[in-house]
Amino acid sequence: MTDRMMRDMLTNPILAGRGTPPRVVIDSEFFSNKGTQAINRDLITNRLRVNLNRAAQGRLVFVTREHVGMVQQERDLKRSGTTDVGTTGVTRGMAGADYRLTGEIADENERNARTGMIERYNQITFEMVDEESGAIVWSGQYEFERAADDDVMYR
Amino acid sequence: MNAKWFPGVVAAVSSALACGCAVTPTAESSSNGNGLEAQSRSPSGHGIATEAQRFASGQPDELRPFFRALYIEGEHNAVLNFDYLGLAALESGQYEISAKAFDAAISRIEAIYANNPSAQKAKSLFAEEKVKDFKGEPYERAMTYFYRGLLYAHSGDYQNARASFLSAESQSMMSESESYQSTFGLMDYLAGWASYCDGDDSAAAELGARAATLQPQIFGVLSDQVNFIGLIDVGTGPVKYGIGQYHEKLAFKASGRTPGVADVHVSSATLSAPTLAADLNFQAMTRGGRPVDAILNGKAEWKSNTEGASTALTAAGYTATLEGAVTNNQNLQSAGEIGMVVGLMGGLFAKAMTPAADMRTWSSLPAAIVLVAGQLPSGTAPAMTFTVAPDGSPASASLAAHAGRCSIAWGEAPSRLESAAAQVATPVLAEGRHEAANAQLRSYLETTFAGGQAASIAEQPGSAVRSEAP
Repeated sequence: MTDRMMRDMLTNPILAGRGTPPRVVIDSEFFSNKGTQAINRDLITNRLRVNLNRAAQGRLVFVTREHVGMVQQERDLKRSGTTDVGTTGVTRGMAGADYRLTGEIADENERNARTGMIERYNQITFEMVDEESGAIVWSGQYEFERAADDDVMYR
Repeated sequence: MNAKWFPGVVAAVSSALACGCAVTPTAESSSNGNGLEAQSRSPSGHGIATEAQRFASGQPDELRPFFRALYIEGEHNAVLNFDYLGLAALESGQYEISAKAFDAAISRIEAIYANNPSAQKAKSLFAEEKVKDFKGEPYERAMTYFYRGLLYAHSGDYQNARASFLSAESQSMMSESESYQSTFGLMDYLAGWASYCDGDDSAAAELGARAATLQPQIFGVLSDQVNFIGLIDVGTGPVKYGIGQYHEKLAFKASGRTPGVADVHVSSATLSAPTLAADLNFQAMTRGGRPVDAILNGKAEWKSNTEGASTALTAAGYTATLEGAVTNNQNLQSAGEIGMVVGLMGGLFAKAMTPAADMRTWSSLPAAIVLVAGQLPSGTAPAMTFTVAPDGSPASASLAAHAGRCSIAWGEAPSRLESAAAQVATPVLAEGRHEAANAQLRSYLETTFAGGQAASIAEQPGSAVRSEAP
């Protein structure tokens, strides 16, 4: 799924076709689990960010919001003269984000008590939201369905 | 065949019948009812027991018996032992261990056992249902998700708490009969509460309304938007027993009278009156028939018919043999002897048929769950004390947390740590065909629950282990 998402995003001209690469936040902060299965949301968003970052080849710039404190700490050291300014220069502020990924996972389950057949339909919706205007510049929806029947000894 | 041969044959066959050791895979139950095949000491058994002792000695004192049982019994009883461990860890405040244990139980409950060898073996005429890997009955599976949901709420992960409570409700509905569908409104109510805590007020209202529809007398009068939930496990959970000539049908009964909660205090909170919100005895007893009952019933019929035919053949053969001996009719005597032997062999087969239902039980579950709901001042961690009626002394919550918008507390009375430890005190090795899976489980235990330093490998007094027959 994350591979498909990555391809979808990189073909979107607003996201990956600009002269100045847009800045994007991808983390699990606004990715909600509304399904009936506990999941590790970070697994999905981390994989997506890492793969997208590799494939984007500079067409997208990824910005962290999880480690703002860490960045601020280093900025303070540079500005207090405790350290020099490094090799990439200093900026007036940290990078502001143009877009942020939001998402939701939901599912529908059906169980046939007589046959033991369990059917699970999962739907994951992602939207890339413009952090200034609120416009949704990209969306993707991914579905998968699984069905299996447990042994009669366990029904 | 002649008259001189006959007493010897009868003696040998009778002896075999009496001890049941010729072809019967003798069942001998352990204290936790896992009842694997006849056990005797073997070097490999000692090796695993020693390793188990080393592994358990690096774990918190109060949880050692549970880790030891898990290590020794392997996959066969993994869900049951993870459940025991998870609940004991929750009660003793070891929340990380508890969460990992329940996660491990849930991953096995959710596994599809379509071609599982032990499940196939359990269908055999000559194997009891309890040879299958334990997954638990629907109420036991539901409670696994319930406790995991509490732990998610404790850590402030209300989305996964909601998912767990919804899964608990779904597991409780695994009834074959449509007339026994959901009565576990507490799980919907808690899922609604978790939604509220997550800031999803519309889902909170929807799930609260669903709980109110299922059990209006309980949840119809409770607000679905409260920032504090207190839950108290009371009493001792349902008991499983077998009914039918060979205990082939699984039935449930209450282990005693379900106590109520007389009084609950939570610091600075405005609370609803304590309500018995979930009755596990009722959950167990309204399960309806299991598809597996038909298989066990078939086994019971086979056993009964074989026993009947065997008795008739043996009796007829005995009469013919006697008559032949008295009348000096060699042919009649020989035919009688053959009839007796065939009858006695049939008896052996009948004895080897084992239609009994699986009665392994997660016995540290409560009889019921009492709920209080209300409002706490924002940002307050709850300090809950409660008294179980009629004569209980005040007890404190084992789990209490404030995270984000909400607070939660959970407690239990009476404590089930000691009785649960007693249930797992005599683990039984179940290597057989499970060796690879058990080795994988033990490796998982060593890495996931890497507790402390390895301690003495000497066995502690009273730490008996029964090992598998060579």
